[in-house]
Amino acid sequence: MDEMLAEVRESIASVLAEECPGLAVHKFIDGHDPLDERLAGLAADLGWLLIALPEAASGIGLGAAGLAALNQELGRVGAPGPFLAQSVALDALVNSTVANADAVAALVGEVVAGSATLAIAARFDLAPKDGMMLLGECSARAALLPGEGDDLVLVDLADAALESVVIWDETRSMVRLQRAAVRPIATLAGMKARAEAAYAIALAADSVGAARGILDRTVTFMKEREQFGRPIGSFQALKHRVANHLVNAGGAEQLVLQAVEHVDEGGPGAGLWSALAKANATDAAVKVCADCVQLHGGVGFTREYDPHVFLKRVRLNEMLLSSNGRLRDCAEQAFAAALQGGHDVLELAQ
Amino acid sequence: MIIDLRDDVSAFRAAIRDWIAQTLPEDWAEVAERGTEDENVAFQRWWFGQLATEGLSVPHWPEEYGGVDLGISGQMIVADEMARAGAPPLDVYIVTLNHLPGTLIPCGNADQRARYLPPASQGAVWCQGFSEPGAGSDLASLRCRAVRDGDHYVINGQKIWSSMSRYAQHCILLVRTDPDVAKHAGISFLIMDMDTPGLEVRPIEQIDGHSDFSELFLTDVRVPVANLVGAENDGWRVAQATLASERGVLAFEAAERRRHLMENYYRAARAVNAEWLDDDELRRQFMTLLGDLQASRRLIRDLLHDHENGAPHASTAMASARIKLYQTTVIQKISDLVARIEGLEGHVRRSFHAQSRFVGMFDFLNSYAWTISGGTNEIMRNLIAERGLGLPRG
Ligand SMILES: Cc1cc2nc3c(=O)[nH]c(=O)nc-3n(C[C@H](O)[C@H](O)[C@H](O)COP(=O)(O)OP(=O)(O)OC[C@H]3O[C@@H](n4cnc5c(N)ncnc54)[C@H](O)[C@@H]3O)c2cc1C
Repeated sequence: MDEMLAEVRESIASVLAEECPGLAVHKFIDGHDPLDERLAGLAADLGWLLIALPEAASGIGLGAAGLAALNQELGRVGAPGPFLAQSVALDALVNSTVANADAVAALVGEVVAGSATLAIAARFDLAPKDGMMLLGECSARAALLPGEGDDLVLVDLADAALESVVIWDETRSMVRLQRAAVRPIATLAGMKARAEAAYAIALAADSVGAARGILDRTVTFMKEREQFGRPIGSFQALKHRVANHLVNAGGAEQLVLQAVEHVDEGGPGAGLWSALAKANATDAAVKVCADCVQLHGGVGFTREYDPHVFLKRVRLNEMLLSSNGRLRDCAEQAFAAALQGGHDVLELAQ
Repeated sequence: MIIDLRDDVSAFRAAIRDWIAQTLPEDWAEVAERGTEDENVAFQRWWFGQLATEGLSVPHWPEEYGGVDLGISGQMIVADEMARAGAPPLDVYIVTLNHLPGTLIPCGNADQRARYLPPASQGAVWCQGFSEPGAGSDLASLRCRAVRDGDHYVINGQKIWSSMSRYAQHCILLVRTDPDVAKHAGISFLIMDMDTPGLEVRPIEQIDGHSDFSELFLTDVRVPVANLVGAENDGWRVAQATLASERGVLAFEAAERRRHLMENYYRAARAVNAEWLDDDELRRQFMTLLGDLQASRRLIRDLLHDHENGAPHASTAMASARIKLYQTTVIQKISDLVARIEGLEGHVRRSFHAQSRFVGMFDFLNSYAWTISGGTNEIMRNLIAERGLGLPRG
């Protein structure tokens, strides 16, 4: 399992390194190249959205670990496209039992094959209302929204009034659902907690990847850019900052893995660790990416250079799902409940 | 002996747990809180002796010196059970347990190993005399001078910050044997008995109220040449082995203790509906740090496994620098939070020895021991940036 995961991650990383270097992302955001479509095509050919899905749904069965690996690698290169929302929505769809299973299965098949896309509610802590934001594209076929109580509802976007919004993060898309009363396709009973955990892990992993990706590029820049007759990377004030960023990104990455383990085991720590992973990882990533702007100096303030792409992406991640303060409250409640129930959610496998 | 059960993981764990429950006086923590430093050290000696009777004092050492070569997983079980029970931390034995075998096994000779390791396994206390008033982060600039006189070295100079040295029987000492060569090339590594004439130990009072460390004044102190570890002037290389042994299981135990302290602190707060649980900032910061602590525990566990699986030294050395920086920062943030949670009550000086619960200001002040000793966190950042990320030297 670990070997398979490493192989999958390696293969995604190498494809993305080839197809999605910084220059390509810039061409995309400048409107010169439909990189998102190319990546969607590659994802369909290579089965990226199948990685996390259970074998019963023709997936590879890597679960939350696969979900995290995919999103982390996408985040590392700032890959454009609706992958994050889709990977979260698919996880919920294939793991729930719904009344009209055939329609849902057909939709899943289309999404995996790249002929339809899915959106999800940007925030899960608010009940659907007119004008709510979705993470996904204007062309999305359906969207997953929080439903009553612990349920989720899959809604048909075919006749929905969608307004596309221009957002700062140009690597992802958001739309506004003008009237929240849209035709439901299926109710995913009791799936809210699972979807929140998957969403949290995907956001945390994407953010860790983004932080690591821009940090690597910033370190390279610091070795090349010279001032006062020497590389700026020799200035200790800057070195110490990148050393901090490196260890903090490493800590956040461990928290993603912690959440992955608990979610995959379906244990009482799933809600606790996924909420904390999203809160801590997005906070850490915002600090790293913001400082990478500063570490670049004037070019860090230009559209032409990479740091802003990552900063905007992780700032959006930070705002998605639920506020980090709220997530820490959820984590605290989960912690209290676990202790009350006599569950040891802090134990590490040795 | 309990150590004989080590191959059966669950029996081993259960036996340690039961034994601690039976052996450790129930009120030890309260007694420790009230006790003086001397009483605490005496208690640690007693506890070490108890551990030795079960083969649990130095289980990670090789068999010929009193251990059983217990692997990392086994050591983690022992550390975990000690932390879980809040058993006395063996502060006075840190050098004995880690630096001494970490130095003598790779770099000492057979006589030295046979002479020093078995008594250490029974509780001889060792200290480390590396730092000097003029040589801290730049350790290699040390000046404490040793001059050869027949089969002895005659040593003059000063050492500082030597932890637990006033309780120690022996000291691992770095001295300058050749002042005329490059600074790293003229250093030697010696073993000094602490009762040698000419050695004076003066405790230094710390910010946390303890006097764990002392200054060492050496005036014509005579140390036999037989006590040279490694070759003359090759002490810097030997010292690298010592410094490498500083981290690892020690960090693991510290992290495991905090895991239980945090859990207990939270439980106790919930039980009385403590006010801070209604304070969004404090409550959320607590959760943030619970996450960071968990991350640091995972990093340490992975490092220990890499070590055991023979990962290349350069990669484990870099990982341990990263972990030192991350973990000690987390420790400091936790204690900072607890100080803020405790508010004014945390400023009342109740105890200097609370080891089984968080104590506001004491833990906060004490946390600087973590960020300064064992290579300051600034030095860790230099290492990470220069050797890890390949940024040019300034
Ligand atoms: C609780 C405690 C226990 C200790 N126990 C022992 C012991 O048992 N045996 C022993 O030998 N020593 C011991 N030490 C000493 C410890 O190793 C040194 O204090 C430490 O290496 C720092 O050296 P220094 O105190 O001379 O500070 P300095 O090196 O003078 O540092 C002062 C400040 O400058 C910074 N600094 C220095 N150089 C650089 C640089 N190149 N780049 C950036 N910043 C820099 C430091 O990080 C620090 O913030 C102990 C220290 C403490 C606090």
